[in-house]
Amino acid sequence: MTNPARLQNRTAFLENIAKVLDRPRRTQAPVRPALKYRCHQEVMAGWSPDQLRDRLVDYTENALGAKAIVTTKAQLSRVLSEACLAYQQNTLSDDGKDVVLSADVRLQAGIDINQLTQAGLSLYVWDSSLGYDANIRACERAKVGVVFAEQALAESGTMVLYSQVEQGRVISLLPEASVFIVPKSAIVPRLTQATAVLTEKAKAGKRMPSCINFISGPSSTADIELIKVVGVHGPIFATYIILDDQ
Amino acid sequence: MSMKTSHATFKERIDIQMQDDYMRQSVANAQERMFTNRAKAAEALGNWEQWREMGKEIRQHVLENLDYYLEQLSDKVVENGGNVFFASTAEEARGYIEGVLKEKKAKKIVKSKSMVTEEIDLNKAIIGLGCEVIETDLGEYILQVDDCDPPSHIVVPALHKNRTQIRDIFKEKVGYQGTNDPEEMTRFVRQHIRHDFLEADIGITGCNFAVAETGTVSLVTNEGNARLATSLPKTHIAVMGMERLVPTFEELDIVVSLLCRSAVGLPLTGYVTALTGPRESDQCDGPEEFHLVIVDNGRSAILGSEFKDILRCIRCAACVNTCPAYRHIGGQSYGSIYSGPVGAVLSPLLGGYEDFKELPYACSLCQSCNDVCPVKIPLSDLLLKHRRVMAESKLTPLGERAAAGFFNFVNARPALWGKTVKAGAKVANATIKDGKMPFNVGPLKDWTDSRDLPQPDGESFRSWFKNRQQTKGDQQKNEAGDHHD
Ligand code: SF4
Repeated sequence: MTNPARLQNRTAFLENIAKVLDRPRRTQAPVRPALKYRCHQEVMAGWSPDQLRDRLVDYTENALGAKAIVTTKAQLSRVLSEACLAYQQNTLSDDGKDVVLSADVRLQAGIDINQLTQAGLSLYVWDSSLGYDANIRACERAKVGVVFAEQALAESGTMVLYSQVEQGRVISLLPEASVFIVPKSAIVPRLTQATAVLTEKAKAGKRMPSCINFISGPSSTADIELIKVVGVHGPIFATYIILDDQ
Repeated sequence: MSMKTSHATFKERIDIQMQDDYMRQSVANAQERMFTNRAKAAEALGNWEQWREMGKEIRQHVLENLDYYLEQLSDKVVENGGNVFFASTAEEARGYIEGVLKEKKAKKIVKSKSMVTEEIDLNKAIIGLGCEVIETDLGEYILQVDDCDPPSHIVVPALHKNRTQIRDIFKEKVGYQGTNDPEEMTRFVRQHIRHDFLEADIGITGCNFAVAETGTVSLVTNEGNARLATSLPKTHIAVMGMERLVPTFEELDIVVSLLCRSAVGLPLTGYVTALTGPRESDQCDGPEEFHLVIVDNGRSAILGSEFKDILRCIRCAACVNTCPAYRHIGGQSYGSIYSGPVGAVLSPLLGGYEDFKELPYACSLCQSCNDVCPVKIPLSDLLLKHRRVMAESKLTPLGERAAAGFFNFVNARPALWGKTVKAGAKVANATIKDGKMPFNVGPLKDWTDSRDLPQPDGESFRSWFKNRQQTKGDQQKNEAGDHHD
């Protein structure tokens, strides 16, 4: 499609807005007022990495119904195997045994694939070059999807994921269980610090990753009588593995 | 479903609703729980007034510069490889979306909850093309399966149904064999419609907030259906009300924080998803094609009117969850997809006074909505404005004009009704005698007659509510609900 077709009806629409606002059309960037208060910056300001980690673990386990495991880089393969094996045994259906691993270099560098297979896990590593069908099929059949998070938010028990070639959107979406790995150094107080990174990216003229997800625990609903049910269309289970690397 | 959800009169709707004891009890319970969750979440965050003030200013700034930010947003979406259509009317929006469906030869469409697509009556148009459309948010799915029963709450659309009713609907319509256990039914829906996501040609979503600087559309959800609808189908169409944007991610932080705490009482919902254009060419999941449909449909007229403050709304339903009128008559009585105080203000503006002239009277003047609104919309003032406008234009029947005259009298004497809830309650005190309004306002009379308003003992509704709460004990934990737009 050509450009005009990709942007339709804009002029008249915006002219009308200017008209109802009773002024000429505004085409220059207005001065964006600075936020009036700093209360969002003050949440958990000055907390140490250990305090943030503790808060993340506490909120995740108590409010989200997810598991949080603190471990070290050296133990990651063992801890990850155990987490995946637990889901293999506990999940609801029998079809599909695979674990889908993100191909993110930070994840791949941190684990020993042999150790995972020796533990009895069959693995699929995300591979964009194989295209949509192969990757979707693998994720659809898998029990567990393992991803690496850019950041974690202590206040809300949130994992921040950017879509990327090595780590598709559906790894943390189609399998019944999600395992997130995040270094302790990437834990920040709240959404404020995560959006700050994105604002900086934007200022530097970079395109946003096409899909950024802030994920807090497994999927849930309260649409029937306001009763919370964990596990709707997204994952039913979630484990956060925090690498205590500092 | 269009704006208007019923052809019955306001009075008939209330009569029907009033006979439904489950509905009334469930609305009452739900309100209590959601009200408490919001209050706790606001308190836990601290400085709530400052947060609200920031929310108000951000939204105000966007509205004042709406033409600029929409231009920036649309430029950015196109730059990222997406398409933008500006729709002045519902008809134009439907027409464009129909065009995309035809071009893609779409057969199956998955939707995640979106009020604006309800507003423009999109499903009917899609079905008219011979396509199948599946509402995938659990609450919306229940309503769709139940022959498109209208929603009763903007965040929890099937709030008026209990588990047994839902079981019966599933049994009759989709062959469900299980019990009325919410978890079992939820899992059933998960299994039952998973294939639809995989087969769908197009995913349609709303947009909670767009980010102008980056051309991003954000979705605030819990169930994972919006993620599926924007990850699996080859085409994603996002439909947004033209006012639903913020300048940058910095402001997105504030409004999303306000939305999640106000709507479900949590720091964040299960998923906050920020989508920018179609997927990058080297990635393999996510849509190849992205369309953003920006809808006016009456909003510009509001922007140029004395009602413009309502456009700050972030659809959190905090006002709904605190409203005694909503509590008494239930969401479906409003006869609009938007219920509660926000619905009573918005429906006459978007759908016309003719169909929604009674709604501004479904208000007991307690002002509790003003107090909870995270972007400080003076809802009860706007409701009074509606009454005045209707009285002036003689749109309302005689009895109602008399009532509006009364409200004019009060409205012109701010000292009489003051700024605080407490003062608001005192006015309510003056207008409610023996739990009944001193004047008879057609349909309003019916619900004031039949259902006692909070006792006018000088207490505000909120403190009345709090007292009730304390006697009720702590029964709620971690409720969550999906609330997209
Ligand atoms: S009017 Fe205010 S309280 Fe009501 S839904 Fe909108 S933002 Fe929320």
